Amino acid sequence: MTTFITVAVIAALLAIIIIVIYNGIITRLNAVERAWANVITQERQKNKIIPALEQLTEQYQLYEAGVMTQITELRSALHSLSADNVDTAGLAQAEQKTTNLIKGLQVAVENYPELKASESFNNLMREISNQQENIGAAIRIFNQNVEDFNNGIETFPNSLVNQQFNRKQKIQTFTDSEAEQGFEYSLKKQ
Amino acid sequence: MAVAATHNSRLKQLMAELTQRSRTATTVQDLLEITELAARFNAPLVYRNRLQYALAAVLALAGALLLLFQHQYYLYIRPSGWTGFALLMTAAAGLLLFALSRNRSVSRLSNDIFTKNVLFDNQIKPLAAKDVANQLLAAFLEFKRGNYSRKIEQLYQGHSASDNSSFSYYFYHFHYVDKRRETYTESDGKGGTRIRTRTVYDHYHRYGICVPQFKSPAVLVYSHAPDHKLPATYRPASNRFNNHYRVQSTDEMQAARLMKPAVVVAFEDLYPILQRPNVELQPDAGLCLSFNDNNLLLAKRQYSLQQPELFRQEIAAHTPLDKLHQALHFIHHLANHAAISLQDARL
Repeated sequence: MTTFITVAVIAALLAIIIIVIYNGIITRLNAVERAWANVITQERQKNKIIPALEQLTEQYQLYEAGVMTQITELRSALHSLSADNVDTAGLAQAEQKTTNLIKGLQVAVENYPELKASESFNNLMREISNQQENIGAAIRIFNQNVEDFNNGIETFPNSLVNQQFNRKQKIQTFTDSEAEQGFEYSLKKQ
Repeated sequence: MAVAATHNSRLKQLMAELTQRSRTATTVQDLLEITELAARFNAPLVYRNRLQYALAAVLALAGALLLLFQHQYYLYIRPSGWTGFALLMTAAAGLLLFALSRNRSVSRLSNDIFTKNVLFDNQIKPLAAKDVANQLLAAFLEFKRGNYSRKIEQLYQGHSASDNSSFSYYFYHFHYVDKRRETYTESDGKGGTRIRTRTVYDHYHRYGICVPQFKSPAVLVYSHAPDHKLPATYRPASNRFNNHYRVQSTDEMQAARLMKPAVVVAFEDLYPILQRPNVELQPDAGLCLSFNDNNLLLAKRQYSLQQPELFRQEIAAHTPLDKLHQALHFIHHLANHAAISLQDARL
């Protein structure tokens, strides 16, 4: 009888440990998905400034610098992003298109001093910079959560539980130097 | 001896003047003049205590001889002998303490001068305004701590400017006391124990920066839970943030609007810098960043009035308060990224 009770207690303890680890993996995965959705939400904020950019492009006829093409490419890249699937390649593409557009704008305005000095253009650039900073921060949060998740499925005994029950794959962090540079805030630099 | 008495008397006069000047100093220049006065003294700022040391030795020796005499004469030490010994030893100790303490006064004055200089360098002024302290106590949940007493012990006023924002702020030291009853066991004198109760007062200290110009809906981000809270909770996406902080607001959307990724990451970076930081935003009172660190207005002094020229150079150089600047930088960052308007008016 005592042996039976001992075995039952050990089995119950094991079951509780497995349930806790299983749920922990699910919680971490949900955190990764939420962080990813957050990145996409921040990326899509760019859709709000695209009409203003188009208006400026038409007003100052910035066609020769290819700004309009870059705007179209960025819109298309943003459209292809999905909050449901972690697609770091798609995100990298959207970030690349953003970088191209910002560089294109910077080159184009050199020929238009009045545009460069205009309040609406400067407000727009400030808004873009603010958005880029938030995207950089959202990417950092995503990467931190991915690291938590990867640790959660690779460390022992979580790796055994994951192998037998969760069966989740390691997720790649997002590495993009331009996007990371977008987030420049650091208290430690002070 | 006469030379020592003259030196001590001159030094006493000088210290009195330096202390008075230090109390009334309002600029770094005033402090520099104090160091120049000390330099002109042309002798070390040390009291000559040979007389006090000699007297203390004589008194201690007399006490010892008294005991010895009684022991030899009466073969035991009478109560009057012990009383005499205690009186002589107390007098000797008093003389020694007096001698050591007056030499420490130079170091204490150097500390006062340096502390003032640090405040001047960082444009911070002590503020004796009970009405401001009472307003702060009434406005923020942060101060609804302590079931026995709560008081703002010290209040300072400063101004901070960055490229995009500028604000005036109050720096405070908050002291609160919790009263509780506790039981303890003591001996009943018969080999057993008995349980008794007593009242215990737990003292706590928090420090912080309040910026009244902040205009924002009520949001509370805390790592050190206050006694009173707000009704709605919000969890940002960051695991690291959620490990350290909790977010509450009057409604969830207000909190979501404030906690943009750049703000969340700034809170993450703040956590290793300040101990148990909280940020509270109140629509009518502004922002309050509170923490346990007591060293934001402190800097390390290298020299003292004993080395007047080096001390003068130390005073003349700018002494930054790194931790305070990091905290202020965080507030500027919050103002730039959160949907918070800053009314730029000086206090």
